[in-house]
Amino acid sequence: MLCRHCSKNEATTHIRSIIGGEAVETHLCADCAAVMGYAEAFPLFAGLSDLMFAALRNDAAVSTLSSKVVRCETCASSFEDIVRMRVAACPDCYRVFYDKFLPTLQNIHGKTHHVGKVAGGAHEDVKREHRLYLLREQLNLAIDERNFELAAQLRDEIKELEARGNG
Amino acid sequence: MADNKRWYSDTGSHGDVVLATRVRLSRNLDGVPFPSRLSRDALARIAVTVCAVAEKFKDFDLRPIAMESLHPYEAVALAERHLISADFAAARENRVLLLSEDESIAVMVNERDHLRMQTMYGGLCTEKAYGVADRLDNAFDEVLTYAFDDRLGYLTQNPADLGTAMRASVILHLPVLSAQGVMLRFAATAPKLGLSVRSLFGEGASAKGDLYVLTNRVTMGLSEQAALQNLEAFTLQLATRERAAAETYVSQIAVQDRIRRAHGMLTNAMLLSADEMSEALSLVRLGSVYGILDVPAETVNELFVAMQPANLNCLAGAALDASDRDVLRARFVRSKLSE
Repeated sequence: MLCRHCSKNEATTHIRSIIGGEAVETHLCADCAAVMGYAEAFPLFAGLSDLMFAALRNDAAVSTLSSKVVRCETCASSFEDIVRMRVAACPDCYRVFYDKFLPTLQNIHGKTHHVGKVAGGAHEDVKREHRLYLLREQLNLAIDERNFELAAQLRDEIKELEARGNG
Repeated sequence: MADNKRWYSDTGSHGDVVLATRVRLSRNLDGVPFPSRLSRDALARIAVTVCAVAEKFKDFDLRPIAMESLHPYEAVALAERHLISADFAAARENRVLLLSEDESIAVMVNERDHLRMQTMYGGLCTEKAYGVADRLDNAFDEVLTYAFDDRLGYLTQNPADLGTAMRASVILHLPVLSAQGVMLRFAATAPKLGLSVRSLFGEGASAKGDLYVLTNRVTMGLSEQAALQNLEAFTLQLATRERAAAETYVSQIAVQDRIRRAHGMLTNAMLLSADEMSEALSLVRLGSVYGILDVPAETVNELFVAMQPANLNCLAGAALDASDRDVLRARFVRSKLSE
């Protein structure tokens, strides 16, 4: 397909936009796309921090569309504020906007669930939940590896721990 | 092993390549906005609370230093010794440093997180450094309520620190790998292993003094122990490569010539800039490690740190200008290397 603008080069940039409620498709070569300002929409070398926050920005854009802005009760930050600052304002921001942080965490760390030291002698529930999470991960691994003996052991351990939590 | 030695005066395990190991843990108080969002009064209250808690510790002798009470160069000197961050030295209002006598433990209060505690020792010692940091963390945890979430771990201002909120680093001297121009390649592989490599002084590929810092990048979904093992494994790999390459490298007469010339320059110069010194010290350290020069490696380590601009100002007790510092630096290096 040739570029719709210069009709000389092969079109490599395909843009679908909605103008006046109608979907419009444009096909441009790389040069024309750059001249018309479309190239910036697809940065080839977004910096790490840009990459990290790309997912956040999308979410923020969606949230501005809805009329009611959700704010953290502790610090009154909206999710937009956090994206603008690029850092959280208080610990509770993570609890309020947990789902929205997940894509970013996946980008930065490749994982979204903590493994390791657990805080506080006061947080017995937290410690139990953490142990349960680890056991369930091990259980999945055991099933994948068809190690059914270990899987049965782990399942018993999980049940026992769950029962202790409910009791 | 002498426990009261500062990290830069102590050659520990794998001391030919590894100058020091540092572990930093970031912690925040639950329900309290992060320091950058707090008023002066609120920051002051946190500093008072944390100091009162630390005062009661029996195992740790931490002395509070109000950062505002320091002369700017004294604060920068602490950063040059890698006890605090550059930012903590620059913006000192309402910030307190808790420091142990031997500088092995430092706690920044009201940095980007409420608490950033670090332990630092000579040589490769991830287990020891983490062990002490862990005990200190437990001591604070008994009294303070940390911001913690069972899914996200320790809650920190920067999402990149969530999870264990632990940064473990080693300072490496890699003169031969640097000379062979392969450090860029290692720096490129490190992120794939969840690690990052940067130069200790200055930016990018031209590491002054051939000193590098290797740090864990991933804090989420990886336990402290796994991250430390990962860091240690890559460190040992780099050390093995450096040693293998060094064997043939230092046997060359041209290299031995450069090492001895560097030593000759350092023991005779009347004016010495920081860059010139770092380049020559790196060669002298190589000569020291491979028995070409009779200079203890820890003397070189100490000079690397003590001859930084702000530390020289501390030595002189005044903010010297660059040319006066070059005179003092040359005099100090001459006397240290002739001991």
